[in-house]
Amino acid sequence: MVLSVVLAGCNKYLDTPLPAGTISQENAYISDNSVSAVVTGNFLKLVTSSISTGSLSFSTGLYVDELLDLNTGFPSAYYSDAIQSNNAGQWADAYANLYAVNSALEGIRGTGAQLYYKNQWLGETYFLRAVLYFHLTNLYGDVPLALTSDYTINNKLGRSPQSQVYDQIVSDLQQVKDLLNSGYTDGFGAATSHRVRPNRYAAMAMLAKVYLYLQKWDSAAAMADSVIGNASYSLEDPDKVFGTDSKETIWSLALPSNVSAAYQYENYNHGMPSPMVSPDNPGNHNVYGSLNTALVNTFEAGDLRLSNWVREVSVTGASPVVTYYFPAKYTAPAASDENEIMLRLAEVFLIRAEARAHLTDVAGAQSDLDAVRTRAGLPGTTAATQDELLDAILRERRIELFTEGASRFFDLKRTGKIDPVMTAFAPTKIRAATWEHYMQLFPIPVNDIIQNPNITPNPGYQH
Amino acid sequence: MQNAAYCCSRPAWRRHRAITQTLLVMKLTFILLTVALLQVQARGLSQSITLSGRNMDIREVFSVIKQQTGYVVFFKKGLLTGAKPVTLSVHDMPLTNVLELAMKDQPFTYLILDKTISLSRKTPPAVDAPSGTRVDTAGDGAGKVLGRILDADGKPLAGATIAVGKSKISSTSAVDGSFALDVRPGDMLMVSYVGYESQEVSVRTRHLRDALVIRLQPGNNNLDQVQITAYGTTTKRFNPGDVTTITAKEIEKNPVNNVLEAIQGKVPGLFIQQVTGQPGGAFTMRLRGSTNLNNNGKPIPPLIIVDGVRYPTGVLPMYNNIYSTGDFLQGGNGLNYINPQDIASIDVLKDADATAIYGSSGAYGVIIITTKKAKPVAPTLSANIYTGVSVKGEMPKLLNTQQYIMLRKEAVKNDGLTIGSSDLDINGTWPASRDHDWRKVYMGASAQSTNANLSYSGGARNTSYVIGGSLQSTGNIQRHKGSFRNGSLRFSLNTATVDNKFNLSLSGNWTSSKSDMVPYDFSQMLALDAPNAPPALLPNGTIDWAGAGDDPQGPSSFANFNRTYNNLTNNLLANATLEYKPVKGVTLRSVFGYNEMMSKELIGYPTTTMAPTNQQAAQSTLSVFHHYDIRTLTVSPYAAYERTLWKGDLSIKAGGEITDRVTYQDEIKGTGFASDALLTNPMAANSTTSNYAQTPFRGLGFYGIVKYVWDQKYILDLNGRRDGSTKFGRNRRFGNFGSIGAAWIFSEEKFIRDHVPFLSFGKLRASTGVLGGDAIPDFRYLSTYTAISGTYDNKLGLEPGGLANPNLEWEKNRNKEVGLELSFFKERIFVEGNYYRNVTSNQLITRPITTVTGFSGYSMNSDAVIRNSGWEISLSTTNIKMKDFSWTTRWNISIPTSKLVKAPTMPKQNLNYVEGRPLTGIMLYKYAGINPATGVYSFTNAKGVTGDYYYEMSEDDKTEFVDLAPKYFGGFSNSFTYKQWSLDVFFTFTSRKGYNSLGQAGYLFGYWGVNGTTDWLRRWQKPGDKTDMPKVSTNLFDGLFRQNYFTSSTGAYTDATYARLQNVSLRYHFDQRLLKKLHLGDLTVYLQGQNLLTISRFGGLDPENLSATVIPPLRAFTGGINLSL
Repeated sequence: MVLSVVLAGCNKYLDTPLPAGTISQENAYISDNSVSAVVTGNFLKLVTSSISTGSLSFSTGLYVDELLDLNTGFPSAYYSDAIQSNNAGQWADAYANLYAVNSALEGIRGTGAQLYYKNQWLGETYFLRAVLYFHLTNLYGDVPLALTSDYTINNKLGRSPQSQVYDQIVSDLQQVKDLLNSGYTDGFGAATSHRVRPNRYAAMAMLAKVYLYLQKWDSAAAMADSVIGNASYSLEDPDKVFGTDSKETIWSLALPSNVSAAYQYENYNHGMPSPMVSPDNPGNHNVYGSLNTALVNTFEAGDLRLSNWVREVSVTGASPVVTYYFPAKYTAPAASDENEIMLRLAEVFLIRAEARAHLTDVAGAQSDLDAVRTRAGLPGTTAATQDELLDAILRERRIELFTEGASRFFDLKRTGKIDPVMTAFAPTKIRAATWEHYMQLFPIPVNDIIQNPNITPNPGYQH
Repeated sequence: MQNAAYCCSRPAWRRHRAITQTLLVMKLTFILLTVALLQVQARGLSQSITLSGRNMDIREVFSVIKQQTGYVVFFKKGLLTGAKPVTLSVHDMPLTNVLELAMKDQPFTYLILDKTISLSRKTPPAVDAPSGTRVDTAGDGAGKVLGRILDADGKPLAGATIAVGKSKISSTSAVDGSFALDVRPGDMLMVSYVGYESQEVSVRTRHLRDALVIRLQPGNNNLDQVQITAYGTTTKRFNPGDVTTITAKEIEKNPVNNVLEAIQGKVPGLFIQQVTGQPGGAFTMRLRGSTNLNNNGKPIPPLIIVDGVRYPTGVLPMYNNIYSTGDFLQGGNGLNYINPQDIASIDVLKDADATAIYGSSGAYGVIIITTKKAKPVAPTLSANIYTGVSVKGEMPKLLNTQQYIMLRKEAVKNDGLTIGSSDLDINGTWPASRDHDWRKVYMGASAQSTNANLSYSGGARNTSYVIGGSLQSTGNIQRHKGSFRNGSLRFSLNTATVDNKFNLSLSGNWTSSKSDMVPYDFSQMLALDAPNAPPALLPNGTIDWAGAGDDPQGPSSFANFNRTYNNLTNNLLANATLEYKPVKGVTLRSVFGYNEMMSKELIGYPTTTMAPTNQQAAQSTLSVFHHYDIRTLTVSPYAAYERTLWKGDLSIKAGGEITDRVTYQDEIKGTGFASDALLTNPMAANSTTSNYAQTPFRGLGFYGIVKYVWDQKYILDLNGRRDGSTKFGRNRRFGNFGSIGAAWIFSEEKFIRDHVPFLSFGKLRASTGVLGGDAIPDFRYLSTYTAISGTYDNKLGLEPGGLANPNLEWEKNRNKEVGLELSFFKERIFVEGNYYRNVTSNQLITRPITTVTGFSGYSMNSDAVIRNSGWEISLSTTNIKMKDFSWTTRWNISIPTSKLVKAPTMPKQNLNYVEGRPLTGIMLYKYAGINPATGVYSFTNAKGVTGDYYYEMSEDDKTEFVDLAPKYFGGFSNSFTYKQWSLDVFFTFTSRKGYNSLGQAGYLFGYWGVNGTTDWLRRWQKPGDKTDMPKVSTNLFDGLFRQNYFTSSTGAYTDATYARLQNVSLRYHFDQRLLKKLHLGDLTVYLQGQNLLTISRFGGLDPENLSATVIPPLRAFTGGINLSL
């Protein structure tokens, strides 16, 4: 008796409060307030990870024909098309985010507390899971499909076929479509004009993109229809597209309050003088990449996007004169003035254009393509056949969506153009790279292959 | 009690009257106690007398004493017959002094026992003259012996133990050295006192009549030294465990700031390394190769208990980033904030028997530090003051300008290049006549150090006290101001009730430390500038930005002088011990220990650290306020029971221990200050960030100890403990630990005594036990969420913490030890040898997992098995012992070995975990020397092919295993005394491999503006040259790649075995007679030196801290005086 009382007392003594700033898992799911913080935390984790748009655009932009590496002494492995299997950045970040997302799903579904915004919390979380797997499967192909936070299971998972990964993405997004509101809500479930958390249309836009990748043209067009048909969205003038008030934004990521400016702004424009005085170079200003001149040359004359979204920096005193082009979609030195845009209406127009072209709706495809061209101050497209249109749409995507996520890399892959394009382009890179077919998939990190025999490497990579 | 009986009984005290006697005694005792208590109430515990009178009767004096102090005087009838009248005039004089005066010419002398003063006939002890009638010679002749214990100088020794033969009867001497014991003629009195040689005195009949004076000689005796163990004390003689004790006497000889430097090399099994010579810097400790897979083979420090409280071990949570002290103090050390002069003893507990009682925390050894406590001594004021200088220690020689230019030109030639316009160092821009020893410029100063200690102590039978204070200041040898200063204040108070049943001791120690040294270690800059580079400093010592403009290295590195730092660390140690002995043999005791270490650092990076032309300077100014606070409370109550059982002594202890620790850290960092003067307030910055952390830890333990000593020969010791810690989940929280220790003092056996008479002591002991370890971060068992800094659209975020493993449980250390202790020729020679074998299993590790889980690792108990075993041998001899001259030698060596018996099962192995090899080693490329044909490094790859590789090898080519742990280490000391002189010379020695200076060189020599060591004079010059230094080259990349392989090859590790003259202490003790004339209690003057000489072949690098970029241990010379009144 006495002993049990003493022992109970001892156990109680050892039930210390957790360190400041830390709460137990149960306490994270006791109210809408705490769950809101968990879900918001997942957005924060994503925006600071290497698979959010800014960082991913830099690495994949270097990998394909979008960016030039200015760090000539030690060119990036991406630029050399020589990623080694010890490169775990995007993979580890995606799964770290997935762990948080899966934990949140388990916590929200499992809590006994009454949550008033349970649908929003679930919807936002499923949405993130779909986005994460979308990036993972497009970077790595078949990937382990971790749907719980249990490491004893996840540590033994083999790679699921890409089709199965896509099934999960579609199923998650279909759920989100029903769980989320049509308007935007903030982290407390209140209506807001800030488009930094997904709504029903973000789910549909994402679904349109997924169906396009799956070559389900009907479904892609249908989803795009719903988004384009909604009056909340309209194409903005080029100088307003990336602002926080942009009506074109379907879903964006807010920058954390302790981040000073958008990654792209920091990376290409912050503190860099224009013009530079020789022998200065961009590396002195922490700028390690510039736009591929071929991309800049793809812009048609009079394209407002060139003047609005590309910054030209010439080096005076050098002969011949050197000019660098930098992405300047994000130009605000303050984080609060811009968000990192993940999905916007122009892309949805281009998705529908492509779907319609495949469905041989030439007029429909032309009109969608022209919606984007007109906004850029360009005349209507001259492409008239399906093939011409598909080429025109791909070129338009390259110009419209440059350095937005991995769009160029993924487009080249899904349209089957990556091998010819890169075979031609790779040798022109510094330390001439040689493109091989297997390179369209990133290597599976060697650590995971060693730790889990069920994970097979991507063929072609040395382990 | 017995005094009362003695006084009041009639001369013939017969045994059969014992019962009546006892009753009488009790009655009297009661009355006396009441009187005494009343006295206490009326007068407090006054022991001083105010009295004056001419030709007073001695009885009058006694009556006044009784009135003023409560002390009652007893004497036999007729003793006062020859008493002489007394003339006195004293004011507030201590009782003993008054008695001395009053008794000076009397035919009797006195002894103070408890609250009674006994008188006895005065007889010179040397003269065996039968007299008096005190003893009952009837029956067995039992009686009482009264005596005094004095030291060699005739000063009384308080607190000495006097035991009667092997019986349980014993007593301790009072303030004036007096004692009383019931004995029979023929009994042996064994007298022992810490630091003195024990003495055995056979009781003669005359001793029962006349006071017995025993003089103890300062000794070299280890056996009866008091050792502090877990929750108690013992002596080396009866300790079945392995404990090494270092006393204040040894510590005091070292002019050091951190006590670890003073005990280096003195404790077998304990390896101590000074990481940096910066005052206030870090130390590492490793007891018997304690290793943990998580720590990458780095040592885990032992548990440190200071005055009953768990003390911070390892590095402190100081500010640690690029602007920080992290590099400069290397994390610091908690013991920098305890004045070594305040330490009474350090007990290092090593084997299972000694440490098991600390259960969970004992796995890596236990160090118990006890600060100086009050002792019942006559009021004494003592001062110990020393001052001296410290200078830089061992450092490699750098090339001078002539050599530098020669080699640089050779490098240019080797590369087939010509000297260009940017090669300022060799194209004539920088004069060849300029030759800076940058080391002198940066860190050539000699620093002043001063240490002053003052204490006042005193007390009598039931109450004693000590109050002390100290000031320490240690300068920095680096250029520009700054020092490390400590001030401390301490007190200790012991008091007990008259019957000694209740005992209370309180102690407090407050240290306030301030450091304003330049927060930068300039050793890292030493090689980074050409010797003929512009001076960079104006004659007034400020930075010459204009003149040094053509040197890219100079100004910026010099500018680090202008960094500012202010560290205020306060350390409070408090202890309260309550002890109650309700009945004979039972002790109830409770120890409360409290420690709070608080540190405030202010680190500034003002505009003066940047070029005046830097327009961003103000924007880049930085200031960090960092604060940490470690608060630990330990409460350990226990009950002890002691009794004689059959022919042995049984002691049983049961108790518990509660530890509560909270570690706080907070920080404000500001960037961009309008003025450098504002750097003192980080909130005045343009932008600020802040940080806050608070981590709790709680531990709980219950234990039981049973010790049985049979016939002084056989000792059995059982320890058991159940421990709980907040590091583990609810179901795995508690662990059971325990040990068995046994010892056989075979020298007590008759056949040994008869046949091996020269063996004065022989003990064989063995112990085995299971200890625990919890060396993982807190709360790894629990799934948690933590707040994310920064908001998302103005909303707060949480993120999950690491992977939780609710099944984490205690590490298990199974320790075994066998030890043999031998003493020959009356302890002239003492040898001790130990062999231990510790097997660690269930180790807590971070196991790597697939990142698919969201993480790269999680904490678990591994199936790895590590075995640490080794030999420790110590020897002390008294080589010469004459009246005026003595020479003693002490020597110890530890030979630790470790072995990874079973590597943890996991798919990807840490390359350096090799089954069958130590955990403290690393795998390296096989270095094949400098290729005589090409002059560059060559290596042999896994296929056995040798080549000048510089990118072709992979980790698989690392074929060589090199163990970096010490192979052996130890210490060797010699103490000489000649008349009033004493000289101690102490060497430490260590054998291990170290990272050599070529391996530590970031660049190979030849790149412009980077100097190297004089080793480069041996460089390869032409094909066919056989040397150990590669050719010089200006090619930075080639050099970097080649150097990259070299630093991971066997070539980068060389033998760093060394012997160091760690300490020399020369003291002169003034003669007692002279001191008496000067009215001084003690006076000693001394000269001391620390780290005086190093013998090694480690290329000039310090073989202790092994680093070319961290300031090596300083060399110190001091002189001081030790004085007491």
